[in-house]
Amino acid sequence: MAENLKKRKFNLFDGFIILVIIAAIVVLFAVNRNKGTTETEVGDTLRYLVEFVSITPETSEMIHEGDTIYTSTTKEKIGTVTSVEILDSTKQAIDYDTGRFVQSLEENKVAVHIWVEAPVTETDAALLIENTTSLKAGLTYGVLGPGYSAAGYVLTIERGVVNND
Amino acid sequence: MIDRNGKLFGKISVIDLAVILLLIAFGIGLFLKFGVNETTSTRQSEAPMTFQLLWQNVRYEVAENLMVGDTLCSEDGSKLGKITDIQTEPAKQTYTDLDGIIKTAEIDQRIDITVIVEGSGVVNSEGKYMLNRNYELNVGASTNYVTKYVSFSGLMQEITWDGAA
Repeated sequence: MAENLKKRKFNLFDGFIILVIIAAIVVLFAVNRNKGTTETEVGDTLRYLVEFVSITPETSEMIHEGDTIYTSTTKEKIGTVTSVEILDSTKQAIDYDTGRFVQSLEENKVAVHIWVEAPVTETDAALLIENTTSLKAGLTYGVLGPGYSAAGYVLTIERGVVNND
Repeated sequence: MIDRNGKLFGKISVIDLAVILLLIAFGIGLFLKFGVNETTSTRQSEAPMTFQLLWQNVRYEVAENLMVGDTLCSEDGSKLGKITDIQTEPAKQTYTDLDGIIKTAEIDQRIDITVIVEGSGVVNSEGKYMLNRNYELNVGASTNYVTKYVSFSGLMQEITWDGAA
């Protein structure tokens, strides 16, 4: 018994090992100091505007307020549609008469703007919808709704969150 | 060579010897990283590094997601600096007219944005601009950048460094 207790005593090298571990943690912290840190606010809701470009009028009629939408890549939920607006679909084309690029109307196609609300988690560098999908304006996401699928381009993300409290 | 107590030549244990070798390797690693390596050496002090990015052919709604004071990050979330100024002008693009001449035309409802960002870094002995000592900036390079709200492809136009070479 006494012999066992003697064996358990810390020696100089045990101290060295502990110092090495502490030093490694400090170095890792210093190296990663420029990475984003998480600042979670649970229960906040984010509003963002998505545009479905160049879809058929038939598809647009399937999009409704209250629809739950998902990403087509990961099948993760990305929010609930709170409003739907159907607009003309346009494409950029050169007008040789004026020498300008104009937004030309596209026949038999429409654009749809939807406002979406979703639970959000914030970090320094990202907004995570449902803790999974990073949302950024300027990116296109594959969107699945009830009975429809479309490419959704994120136009605007509202700053500040809708607090549910 | 190793006796029944696990000691080498009866003087030092194999484990203690391994710890000593590990400490020596760790010390050499730290010296190489922070003393010799041009990129990460702390001998040269960091100074403000300002750079200009051009984001072309942007819709107004998407452009509004970018604001002065926002933190600019690389795609992996590493912080690069703060946005200190945003300048806009009508977007332009080249096209070939009906006579086969290449011309430049303005694009309706689109803008080109110059984003000015201030970070901190060094210019090493090879003349490389190293933001945060570890992120290389190159004029002419087109790279994806993000803020918390927006993602965009920025063309590096100019880099200035306030430190002593």
